[in-house]
Amino acid sequence: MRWSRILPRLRSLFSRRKAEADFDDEIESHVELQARKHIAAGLSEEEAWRRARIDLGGVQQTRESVRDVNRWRLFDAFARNLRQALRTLRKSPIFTLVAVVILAVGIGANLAVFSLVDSLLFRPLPVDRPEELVRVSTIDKQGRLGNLPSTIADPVQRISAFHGVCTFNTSYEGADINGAVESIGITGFDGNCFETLGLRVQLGRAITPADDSPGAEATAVVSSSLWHSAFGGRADVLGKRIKMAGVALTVIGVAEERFDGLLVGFPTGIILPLHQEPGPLPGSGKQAVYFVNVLARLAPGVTQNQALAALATQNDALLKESLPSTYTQNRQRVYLASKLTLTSAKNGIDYMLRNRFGKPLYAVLGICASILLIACVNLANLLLARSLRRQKEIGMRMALGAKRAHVAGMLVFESSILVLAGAGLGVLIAGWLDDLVLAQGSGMFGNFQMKAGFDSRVAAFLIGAVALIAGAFAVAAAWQSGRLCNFDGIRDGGRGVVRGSGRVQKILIACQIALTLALVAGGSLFNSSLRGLYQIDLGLNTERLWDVMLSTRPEGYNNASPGPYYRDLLHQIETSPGVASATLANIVPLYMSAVQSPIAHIENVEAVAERRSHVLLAADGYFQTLGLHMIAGEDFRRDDSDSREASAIISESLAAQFGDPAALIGHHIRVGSDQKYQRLKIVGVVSNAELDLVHPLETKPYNVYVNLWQHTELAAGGPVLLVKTKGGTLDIAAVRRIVDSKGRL
Amino acid sequence: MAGQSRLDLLQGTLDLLILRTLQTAPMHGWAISERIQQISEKVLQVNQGSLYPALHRLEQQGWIKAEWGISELGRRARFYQLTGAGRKQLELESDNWARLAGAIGRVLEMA
Repeated sequence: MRWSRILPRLRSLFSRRKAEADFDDEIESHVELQARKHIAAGLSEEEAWRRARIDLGGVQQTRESVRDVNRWRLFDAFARNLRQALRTLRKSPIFTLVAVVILAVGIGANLAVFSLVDSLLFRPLPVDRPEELVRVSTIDKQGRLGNLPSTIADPVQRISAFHGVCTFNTSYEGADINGAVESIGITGFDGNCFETLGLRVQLGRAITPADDSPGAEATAVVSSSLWHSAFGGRADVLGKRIKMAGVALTVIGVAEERFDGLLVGFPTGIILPLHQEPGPLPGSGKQAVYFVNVLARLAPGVTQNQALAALATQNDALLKESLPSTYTQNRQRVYLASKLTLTSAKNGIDYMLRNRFGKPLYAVLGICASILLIACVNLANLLLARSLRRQKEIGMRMALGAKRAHVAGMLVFESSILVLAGAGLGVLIAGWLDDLVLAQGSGMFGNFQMKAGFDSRVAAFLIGAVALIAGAFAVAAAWQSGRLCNFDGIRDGGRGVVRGSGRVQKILIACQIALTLALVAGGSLFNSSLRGLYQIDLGLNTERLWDVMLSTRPEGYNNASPGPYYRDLLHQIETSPGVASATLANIVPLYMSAVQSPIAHIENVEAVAERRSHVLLAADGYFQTLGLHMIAGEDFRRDDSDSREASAIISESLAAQFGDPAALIGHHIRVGSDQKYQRLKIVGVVSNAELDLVHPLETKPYNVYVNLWQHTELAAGGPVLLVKTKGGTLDIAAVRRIVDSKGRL
Repeated sequence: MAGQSRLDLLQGTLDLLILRTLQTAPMHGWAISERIQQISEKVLQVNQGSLYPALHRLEQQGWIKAEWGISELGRRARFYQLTGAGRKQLELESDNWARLAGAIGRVLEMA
């Protein structure tokens, strides 16, 4: 359309009042001229004016039809409808409030769950072209993906289907920044990661292959959020030192703002060169081989399937070439038999969140959708009931010349306002719900932090939901107006009932009851499963049980020997007031997963247990503190040390695999392929306990408790202190005082 | 209605007549309807009620534009005049009309 056409329209829109006055002038002038003509033809003045007005077909009608031509009528109608609808809704505040709240709860719950689903499952990695990224990993028979030794990087890099490889690992460690100790998510990047991922720095420089080589200075890149929270966003961050587990890292750069890590739900604060990572053991120096996640970027034009085919053909060669020289023979055999696979890494790497919460979230989303459906049916019912009360009003409007379209427009407007108000309130409710859920999450997992923000997908979901609801109500309103307009409200004095709508109301009520019944049934099933879960006998007593994570002092292992340190710490905790018993372990029961390894009974011609066993480190008092009881043999002793024969306690279920529990005492088992666990003496058999909730219904899992006092170096990275209190709560301040007075290890 | 031989305008022809009338000189609404009646020797009767909506429609199409002037009675009146686009539109519609009228004439003669 040309400007010459648009301009007059715009003008007419903005100068409406003046235009109306002008038009009145124009008409007056016309009527006067016409009247003069009639007077000249011999009519009396009065008759002449009357005729002139009739000739025009009525001044008011002419004005109306000109107004119809003009474009402002659309805006006019809009404003009129809006005012009218607001007035009507204001007149029945309780109805309005109930309707808005019903919709707000429905929309809010759906939006909250969808934004969780979105941030957990759909949010792409904050890197360049994430859709080209794939993860290379091992896959076992159960379909579980596993990490690879860092030696795999070079061989994978040579596959032509890939254009860049990034190997990285993640951890969560205490770091000392300007004297303040904080637990921070750490990502170790190889020298190619920044380039492969297309990551940039907003300050300083990125990690290069030179930084990730033996002998290079210890350096780190900090995330944008850590830069702001710990360094105040100042440029002098470059060159600052971060102390971590015995090394001082020099900050060389600040990562670009969008990058918050590669792991779903666990943001990273510090990025350091993979081979500069502090070793886990005092004096062990740098590790040669790390277990890493492998991300590869597909070469241009290569599909994931083509890359997978390329990987499969070189499976054995890749493993052979990357075989770490430090592996034992047993471990080499296992490694060489593994199978490599490719999965899309577009939405980030996930260890457990998606597995654990993906399906439940979809189920909750389904529940929320049906709640919204109920809310809508409910509201439809309310609107219908209300419209019956409005028959008289609508009949009056029709009698005064309102067209059916006008009545329909009015009803559509009213319901749209309700839906929009409900959506607005719903957005607030959703934000609040998400904060609540995510706060729960960060209570469950140490480093967990997820933003359930408002992105384009969530916005699309909201707009879609609102459009759907508003559309449904609009259709209903249009249909309803048809019925209401055919009804002669004036004649019946508003006492009549619109025929047929009684049936509709019945249908709506039936729908409502059916939906509610389904939800109540689902809810009570859910409830009974929950009760059932509570009643599952896990074999341990968690009442008055507290776990305290001990993280190592960032400056490192100055206090040397962890054995005496922890014996003394435990003694002080045990003897403090209110404590019934205390112990140390390497995992928090029910929160963290133990390593699973195959177990062989050495005396019984190397009989191997039919399932893998959970292997964890436990100090003496572990069983007492967790409420397990000894079946045979005895607990570890606190003065056990490396000089004695390595010992272990096994669960009743595992013992049953090898024979009579009492007869097993003094026998030996081989645990997995780790050198240290090749010959452990069984000193006790303990009752069964489910310590790992990944498979909550796995009955009588096999557990091997390895004597922590003989492997204190493995727990040195930060063992878990488990305390059983006599009374209600643990005096955490007292525990902190004890730990601080000793100084951290 | 006075005059037994007067005809109501065919749908859509009012626009054409207005444009043609304004081709000679700017005019206000009343003068346009008078002019049409006069030229058609009172055969064509312009419904004054539909004159003004038509004028406003044409104005919005950009085919005519209006300016305030003084009528023969010394009153403020809106004078309409043809725009460039209006002239083109008039040519187009005149051609169409001529073709239609010719075609109808031929059918009436031959059939």
